[in-house]
Amino acid sequence: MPQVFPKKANTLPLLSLVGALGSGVFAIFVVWYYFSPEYTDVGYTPEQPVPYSHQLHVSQLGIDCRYCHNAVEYSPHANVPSTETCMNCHNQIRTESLNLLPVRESWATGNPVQWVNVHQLPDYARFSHAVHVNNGVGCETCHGRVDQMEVVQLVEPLSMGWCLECHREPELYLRPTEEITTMGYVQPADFVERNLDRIVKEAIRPPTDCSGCHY
Amino acid sequence: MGNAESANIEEMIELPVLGAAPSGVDKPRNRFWRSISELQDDPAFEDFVRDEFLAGASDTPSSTSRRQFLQLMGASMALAGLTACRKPVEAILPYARRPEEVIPGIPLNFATGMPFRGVLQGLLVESHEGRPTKVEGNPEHPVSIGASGLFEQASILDLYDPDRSRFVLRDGSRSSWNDFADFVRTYSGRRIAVLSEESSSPTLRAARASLAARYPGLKWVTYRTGGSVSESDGIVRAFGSRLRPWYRFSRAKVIVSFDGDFLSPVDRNFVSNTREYAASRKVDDASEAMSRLYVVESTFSITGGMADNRLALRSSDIGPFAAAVAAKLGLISTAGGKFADHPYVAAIADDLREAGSAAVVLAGETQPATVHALCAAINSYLGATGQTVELLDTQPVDDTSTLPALVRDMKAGNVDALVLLGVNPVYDVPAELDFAAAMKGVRETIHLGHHVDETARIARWHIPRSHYLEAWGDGRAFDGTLSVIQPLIAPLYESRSDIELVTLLATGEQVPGYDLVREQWRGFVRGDFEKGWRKVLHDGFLPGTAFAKTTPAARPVVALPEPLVSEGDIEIVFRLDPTVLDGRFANNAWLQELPDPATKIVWDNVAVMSPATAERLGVRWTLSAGKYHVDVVEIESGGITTRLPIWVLPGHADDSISVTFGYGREISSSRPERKAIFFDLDHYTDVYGHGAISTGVGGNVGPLRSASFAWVAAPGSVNKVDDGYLIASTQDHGALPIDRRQVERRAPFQMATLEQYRANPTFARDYTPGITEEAWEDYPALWQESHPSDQPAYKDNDYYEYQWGMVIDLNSCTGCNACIVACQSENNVQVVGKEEVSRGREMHWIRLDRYFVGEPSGTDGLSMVLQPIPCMHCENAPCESVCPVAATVHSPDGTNQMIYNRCIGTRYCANNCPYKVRRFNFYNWVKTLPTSVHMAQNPNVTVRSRGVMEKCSYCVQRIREVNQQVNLEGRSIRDGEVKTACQQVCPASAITFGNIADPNSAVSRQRSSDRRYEMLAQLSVKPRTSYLGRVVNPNPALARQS
Repeated sequence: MPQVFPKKANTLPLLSLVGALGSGVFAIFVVWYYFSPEYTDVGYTPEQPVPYSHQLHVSQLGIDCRYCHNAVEYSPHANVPSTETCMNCHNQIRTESLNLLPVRESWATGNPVQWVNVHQLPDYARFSHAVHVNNGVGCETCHGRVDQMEVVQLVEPLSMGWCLECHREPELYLRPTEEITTMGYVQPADFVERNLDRIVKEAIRPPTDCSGCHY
Repeated sequence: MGNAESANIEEMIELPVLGAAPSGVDKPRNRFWRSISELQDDPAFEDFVRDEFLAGASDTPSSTSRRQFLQLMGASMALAGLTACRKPVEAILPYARRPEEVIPGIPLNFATGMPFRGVLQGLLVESHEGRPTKVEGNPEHPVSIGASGLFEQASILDLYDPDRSRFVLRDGSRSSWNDFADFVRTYSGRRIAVLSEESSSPTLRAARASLAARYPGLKWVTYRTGGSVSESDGIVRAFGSRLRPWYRFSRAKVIVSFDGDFLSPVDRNFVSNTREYAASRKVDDASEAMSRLYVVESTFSITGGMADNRLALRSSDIGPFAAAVAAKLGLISTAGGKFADHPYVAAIADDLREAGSAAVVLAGETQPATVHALCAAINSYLGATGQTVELLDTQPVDDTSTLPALVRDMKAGNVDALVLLGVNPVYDVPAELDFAAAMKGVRETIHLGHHVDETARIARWHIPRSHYLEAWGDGRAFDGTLSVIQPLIAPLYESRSDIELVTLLATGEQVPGYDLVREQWRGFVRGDFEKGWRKVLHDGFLPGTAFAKTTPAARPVVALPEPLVSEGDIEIVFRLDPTVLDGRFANNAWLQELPDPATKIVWDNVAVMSPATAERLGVRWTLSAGKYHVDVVEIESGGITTRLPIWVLPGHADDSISVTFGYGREISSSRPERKAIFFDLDHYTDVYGHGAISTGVGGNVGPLRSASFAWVAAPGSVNKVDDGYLIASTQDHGALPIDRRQVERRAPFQMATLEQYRANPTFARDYTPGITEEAWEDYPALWQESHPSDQPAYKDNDYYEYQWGMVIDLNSCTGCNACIVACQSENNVQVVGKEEVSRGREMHWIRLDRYFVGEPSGTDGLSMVLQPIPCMHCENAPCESVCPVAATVHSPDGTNQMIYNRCIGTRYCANNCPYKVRRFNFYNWVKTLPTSVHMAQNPNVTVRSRGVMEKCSYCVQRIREVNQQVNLEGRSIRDGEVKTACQQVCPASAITFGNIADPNSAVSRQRSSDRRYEMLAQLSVKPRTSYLGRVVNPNPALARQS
């Protein structure tokens, strides 16, 4: 009786085993990478109702972050500025600009400008800007070089693993409180030692337990 | 019998692990039992004990079949693939013009006040970006001193009630406020009558004066569900003038209550009464004295539960009983009647005489004025007036007519227009008066109310009434302190307040309430008005405006109370409901689902009676598969019938039936009925889905009364008409799995008499058995350096220095339910509805377990205790070790944290929790909530979804808020800076919370009390929440001879 399967078919079980393993590994990789906030969220650059340029206002005009985001030092929310803040200048400057139409409309009607949330934290996570800013986490550390952004973009994944990188080793990320809003801040050579000193002195111990953020 | 038996068994089987009871102390306890089923060892009761979840708790609703379930799952799977590609786009809406003081993310607190039964409760209300979310007592207010009651707590949900009326209605169709204003301006009728709610507002009084100036024959009648105030009527009888008694229990040694439930949240002065009473019961060590409370009552009330000696008597007999006490004291010369030789009469009289001016006698509102007068006389006779009872000289009630007279006038056509200010007489006026017919005969009727209710539907005009958080107003606190009602939000609907309506009627002008109140207060504020006014708004009250205290010289006049219902007949006693009051809170889901303190029934009112009375009426109840099914009786009185399910309550007086007002409401809802798809589970779980939530719940007993509004009456007949009615009672829920032969020693509730406490100050600990499995030393405190688990995280953490713990003093806790509602409001605890509660799915994070102690027979052998049970935050938590996904773990500050987004809903933790405090979201209770109800949720607490476990978190959001605050300020947390919601609300200060690692903190001092014990300590779970055992002070002369 002739053989039903050729001899090379003997490798099939092996191949299929390797293939199954390989595709399993591949599937895990796909989920691990492509389903992570690193891939799905970073780079999120939604169109905003007003084409507001941080690059212009921060780099060229030199406005400090806290002029608009003025609650950042004492509130959980950094505070997206009210229309009033925009109108402080724009009732004098570029009063005819079409780009500013939504702002003027808001000012006239009292209805808010509907900004699109870029830095959207996962649900069930509680975060306070005030505590971070006052303990030496710079704006840049989480929000990136906002001063170079025409349109605000998400540069960090804002995932729990990413948060914990800093919460476990804050000495690698902290900066002096007076440099909080500095963009492009360059850490001095001995910053780790300085930060370790500060962490001890100011008892900076970021929580790594669940209910530090989830409640 | 049961006791003797269990003692024998313990002698036969030696149980060394339990440790012998300390010698020289006799057994203070009788058996603790939750319900008659437990007492009778009903096998059905085992359902509650054996498992965490009741039988069928995991089943889908009865209306869903397996086929529907599969369809639902298929649809969900298909949809799941389409969603979740990206997070939904969220918008950020900043203010256009930011109000100066508002910082997004930081709540503001405003002082205001809530009108409640004619007094104003001083409050401090939290507002998140202009949205009021949480009510607390005003800590600076002289009456509330930071505490509040359950009605104040729940009032926030009333503001967001989706069934509030939204539009002005003319003959039932939509109109507008301007149309109404035009109508008022052109109105030519002259004979006006006003039926008003009880009010203490000076501005309303002024508005009334201007209304009277325009309509000289103005009739003004104050309407209360209970008719007149028997207490102040009694004082009028006794002293000739209308005075308000303010009981100072903290100065009392002996307190005697005749059917008076002064610790009930329905009492006008509930907060002060509870605080004062708790003060008289504080014992820090065994040498201190404490008061003795006698309660003679017909049903089991909260006050009756706190009593040292309680006597169950029909309400009709309590008057003669009080007279017998007075006779024994020598106050009246008549013979004592049938109670002359009652042992309680002699004991009470002796105690009262001995206490003298440190005694206080009071009667409940169910008692007629004669009994109140008699109590006033006894107090004066003992010299207690001015000591334990302060009489406040309130302004006189100046009604210009009475309700029956007004109804006669209406029927005779002598009233052109009737104005109803926040009252709902069509619902609860006795049928004999036939208010609805009289009202239809009046040409113009104007109703101001929160809902399109029974009265609104008959009224020709209906005006939506502003909630107290929406409108300016004022009033006087119980002690008379003038307080302002400051709104926190603009009216949500086209509503107006009482003062705005009356002012429009009087002047034809639309004046904002703010101007009216300010104008009135110009007369109160001394000095610079603007400055003084700003201070009043900040403080919420004007100091130094309390009523004057008087001590009437006149000798009280005594009339002898007569028995109301003759002996042998069944009486019916009407009471205000401890959860929905007179029905004005009936549309509040939190209060509907709040268990009644004694019966633990939710979403129903029942005819409560004793086992013997149930037998006499031939009515029964059954318990099977964890559910109570009861017979339904029809109560007939004056030709009117009401159907009520029965409930058998041990300790209730025989031949007496207690019923409560506030149910059987018919509120019109403007929301459309939910369109249900056939497999729609949401429809089933949606308590708001079927119109107004109060409609169809319970039966209305108000019309059964006679025209005299008597609280106690003889019904025409009580007949069984139906059976098998499902009652949702939580009385057996969370039954602890304790071997009942050993329950005396292992009782979760530790109690001793004062003598036993003095003989053995550590009774509570001594009676808790030793560790059964492992040595206590195996588990040192978590924060100790040498912790055997050797987990560095505990040592290196930020919160290392704070270790949270709680102590609940059972001597102060009355079981008033305020903590449950406060927790619900603070922690977004959801409401599940009657059927779900009957399946044991209620979500309350803190529950009050009720136990009866003693034998149900006789009139004085039974006591009732209530014990609050939140999560114990065990250091050695059994729930943590069984969670397969580490969704419940320990935090470095010693709390047992529940992580919702990790939880996959295995419910192992709940199964392993010995205290049964974990709650599972069997459905997404939130999904179907109307938008307005969402506004009541606390933005700082996660709203839980379906399939997630939850439980008391020690208000971790408050801890973290303070953690962050002290971090910013670079200091440490002060003792008492973190307050849990249940602690903050508690008028008895029964709950202490704080850092147990600090030996000087209040909670550490409480933990060093000799009365402290840990519940189920034998399991070596090391609970962070512990209890202080209750000490009772019964009269030794009345000890039962057994």
